[in-house]
Amino acid sequence: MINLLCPLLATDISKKISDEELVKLYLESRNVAYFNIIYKRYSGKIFGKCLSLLKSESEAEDATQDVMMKILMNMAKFSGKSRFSTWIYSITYNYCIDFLRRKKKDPSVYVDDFLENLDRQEDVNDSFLLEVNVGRLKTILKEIPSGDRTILLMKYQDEMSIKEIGGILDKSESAIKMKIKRAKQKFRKTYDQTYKERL
Amino acid sequence: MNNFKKLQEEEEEAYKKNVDNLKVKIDGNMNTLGVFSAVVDMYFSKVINYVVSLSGGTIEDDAKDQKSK
Repeated sequence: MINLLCPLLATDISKKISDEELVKLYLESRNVAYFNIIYKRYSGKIFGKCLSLLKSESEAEDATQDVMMKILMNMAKFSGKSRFSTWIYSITYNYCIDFLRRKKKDPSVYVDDFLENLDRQEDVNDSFLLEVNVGRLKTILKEIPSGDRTILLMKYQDEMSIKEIGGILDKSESAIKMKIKRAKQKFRKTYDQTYKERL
Repeated sequence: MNNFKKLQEEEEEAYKKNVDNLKVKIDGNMNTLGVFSAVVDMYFSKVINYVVSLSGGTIEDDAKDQKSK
């Protein structure tokens, strides 16, 4: 009977079911149709994040596959204390950060005080980051170190709270605030170097 | 909607094909897992019974049969 509902689940009903309800339904029935809806909702976002952090399509594909399997295998561990999207993104970020650490591709992922000298500069206004044209935003995010890119995506794309980011990166709230401040400064500096020099 | 979100939407659209191709691989993994867990379900109890009988214990079904006799 549940299988007969699959086409329906893929269309109208799927849009009305919340993530948390889908998790509950999947855990109760183990019906793949529920997981397929979760996949449809999040796979593109997960792939985008992996690509943004790992900068390689093939690595991002492997990472997305691994992250989706992790989500599937650990669904029962989702406690519902945070939003489901936050839980999924925390798995994605942790996977990518571990991957980059193992590869030692980008030292900014594990060197905290890398941007110490930027502290003395002025704080960058949120509106500047939020209003940068999408094409330029993409370019600057590619240019800045992975650690800064990660924290900016967490704050402005996933709208995570300081506490949630701290939980994922295993840092105190004050450390996260400092990291965000530095990432914004780095963003601004890279933006100025890239676009103002062209004028 | 802020531009970080717009960027996310643009990327989702641009890489739709990659994500659809990945689903085939994930379905394959899920099928393999399903077969593996079915095999475990079918044979795990038999393996346990075998180990129990090897170590000199009595299997529950056998014990019931003996009692009924």
